[in-house]
Amino acid sequence: MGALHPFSLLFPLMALALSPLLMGVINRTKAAWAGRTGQPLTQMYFDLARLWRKGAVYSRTTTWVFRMGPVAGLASALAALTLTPFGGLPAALSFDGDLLALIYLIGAGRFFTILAALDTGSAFEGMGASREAFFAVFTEVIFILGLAALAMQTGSLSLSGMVATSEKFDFAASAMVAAALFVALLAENARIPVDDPNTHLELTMIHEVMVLDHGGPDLALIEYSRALKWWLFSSILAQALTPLPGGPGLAVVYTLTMMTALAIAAGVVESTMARLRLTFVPQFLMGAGALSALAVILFLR
Amino acid sequence: MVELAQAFVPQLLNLIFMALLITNLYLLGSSRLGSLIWTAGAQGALLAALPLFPQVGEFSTHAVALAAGSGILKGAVIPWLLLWAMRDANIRRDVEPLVGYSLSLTFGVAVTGLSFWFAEKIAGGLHAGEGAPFVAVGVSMALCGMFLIASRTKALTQVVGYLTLENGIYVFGVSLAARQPFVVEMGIFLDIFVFIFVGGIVMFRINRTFDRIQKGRAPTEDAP
Repeated sequence: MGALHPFSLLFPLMALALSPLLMGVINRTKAAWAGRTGQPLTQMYFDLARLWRKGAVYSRTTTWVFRMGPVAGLASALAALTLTPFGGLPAALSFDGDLLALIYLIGAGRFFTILAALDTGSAFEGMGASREAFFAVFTEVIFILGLAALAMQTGSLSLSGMVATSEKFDFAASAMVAAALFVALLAENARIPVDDPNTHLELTMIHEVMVLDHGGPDLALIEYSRALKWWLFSSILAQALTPLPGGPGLAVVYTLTMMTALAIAAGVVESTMARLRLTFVPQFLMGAGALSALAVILFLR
Repeated sequence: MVELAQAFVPQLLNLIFMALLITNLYLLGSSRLGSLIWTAGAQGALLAALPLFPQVGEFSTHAVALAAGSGILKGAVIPWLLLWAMRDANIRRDVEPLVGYSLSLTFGVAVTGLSFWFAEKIAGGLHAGEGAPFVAVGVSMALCGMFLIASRTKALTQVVGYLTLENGIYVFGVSLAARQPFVVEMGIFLDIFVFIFVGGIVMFRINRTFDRIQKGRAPTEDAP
């Protein structure tokens, strides 16, 4: 168990406050690319507030599992955030192997969302849940292998240690891990080319179909934990892949800049690419998994 | 300036190796014939830079000639020939694998891992260990090329597989280039086989597989 850094608790709070803003950056990028002005950057705050004020409707088929889903999803995202270092400073909690704990916490959040979807008894939501579980098999491989490569590069088994040391930086392998983790970022957060956050076309939805029956505060919790999840993934990607500049203040600013850049990159990807045919998604994710496996091999030698 | 170059060159070599391995995996995972040919061409162009590195041998006119020759041949002439053959023989643009793309990718990664292990075993003696990545990348390319030949049905895909196999032999040979230029030049001569294959495809309009043409000529062969 590492020592608690005085600033470490600030970073989860920062994530809580700022993560909806990153969603705004993605949307603004897409709007700018399409020649529109777009929503204000703070649109998601308004959306969350509006949803929070609404009432919720629950089907008689659903049980407590359905009501627990969004809360458990948010809880696992929050727990994962306490393990996430920021700006090269250690996380609130860090121990050897916390990268696996992080992956399992994210997996737990997904598990509860899937359970809630199945609990509605709708075949349609079951289909979405099945797809989500199927694609998660691939993204978890990408993520575990990518983080394993980073662990080998830095010789540290905890996320906080990984971002703190950057002297053994290998450009070639890092570029591969970066590409693989970027794919995992898009896939995990239900973005194009794997899933489309705006779609409501029955046959192709993945994440959206699972949360169709949630409304009001429940939907707000789900949207919020999705924003937190994006924050979490992109902050890890931003810190691990380039050597951080010296000095904590500068590194924090640098990480925030990189995260904004990642959000803009995701917006550009969404504007320029169509989503992949559903049968082609596993192949695409396997390609990214092969990249992180290759990075592991390069560090093994 | 010299120190900067000295720090930069090994990184550049690593980048080329990484790009070679990625093109390798892309060849295994791609479903479009056109992109397969472009990737094989890119691989050839990347290979051509290898003789110029100090890890391979001193910078000489021989090295430059080798680089220029293989660059033009593998990076431009052969891909152009293959694309021309694809158009001329009216070959459909998809790959038609016998083994699925995901399984092929898994095979590619496994083989790459194996060849790195293998290279550690045998390459200690080459250039005091510096040859190990050459051997690893070369062997993995050769094995992926063989896998492409075995697992894809179309004649043109098999030519691309052959080209990859031969590129692997080139990488393997280039680490010996300083001592045995003969090995590398043999590799270039192997390209002539590719010309013959492509010539055959164009002449006989083989737009599917090599065995199909015999069946086409002797349609009664299948009858009891």
